[in-house]
Amino acid sequence: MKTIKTFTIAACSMFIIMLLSSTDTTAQKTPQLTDPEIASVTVTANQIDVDYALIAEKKSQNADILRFAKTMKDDHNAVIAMAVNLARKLGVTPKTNSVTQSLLDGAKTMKKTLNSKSGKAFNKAYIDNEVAYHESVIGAVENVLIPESQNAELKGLLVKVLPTLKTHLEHAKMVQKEFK
Amino acid sequence: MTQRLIKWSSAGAVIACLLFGSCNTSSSNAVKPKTDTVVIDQMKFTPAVVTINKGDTVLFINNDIVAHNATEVNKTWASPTLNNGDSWKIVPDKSAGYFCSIHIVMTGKIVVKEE
Repeated sequence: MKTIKTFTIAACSMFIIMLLSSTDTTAQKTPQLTDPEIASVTVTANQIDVDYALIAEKKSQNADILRFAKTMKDDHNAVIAMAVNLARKLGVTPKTNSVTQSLLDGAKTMKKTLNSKSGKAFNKAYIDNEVAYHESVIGAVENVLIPESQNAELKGLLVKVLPTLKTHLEHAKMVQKEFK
Repeated sequence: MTQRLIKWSSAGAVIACLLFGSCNTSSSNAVKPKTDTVVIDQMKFTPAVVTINKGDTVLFINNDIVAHNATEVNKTWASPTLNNGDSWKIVPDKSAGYFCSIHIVMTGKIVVKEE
């Protein structure tokens, strides 16, 4: 169990480090992530949580986990739709970058871990990861993606998404108490 | 002819009211039911507490980017799922706390004033 927690924290820390290291502290006005790259990170980060929810829907029998997973699936799909529509409207093609790739690599390992669990062990692993994942994504959105967005509408979308992510985190922490 | 009769009888009623005071004491003193709006935005019900008189309507409008609902804590009433731009109204007969069953940390309260 400790291995999962350690991995989750390590994966999320990697995500933050990747994002923060892409910020040039000596010249903060020069963004390292372009808007097409931010669009790619936004869609990917949301899609990963949808994928985790789909695994939970397949593997869990717990009502609270299933309810939470459905909310994640619906909300993150709604954000993806908004991001894709905005990108289309702005004529921006989301551009895969090192942060997107890092997210995908981390998700691949986490999906493998989740798929290897069942019962209570799965529920705990899923909700622990949801808490850690939302904490890291909130940090990245607040400290990197919003400050680095150049387009006002893209920045506006990220600002709008933030309260949703914070509510998800609060909800995840509430469910997590069940599995302590 | 009929129209003239209606006009005269209306005029008579107005004069009678002026001479003898209030025509319909109960309805003129009663507070007209009103509608209070609760806006759902940024994962919050605003205002979080709405105080109404019995018979008033509470209108929920979802302006948020994700779907929500309003569900009474004991589930005696619940709105359908409200997508962005959807609204739903209720005339609550008693005070109640409510929450969004999709995002269970979102809560609000309706206080119905006793007459």
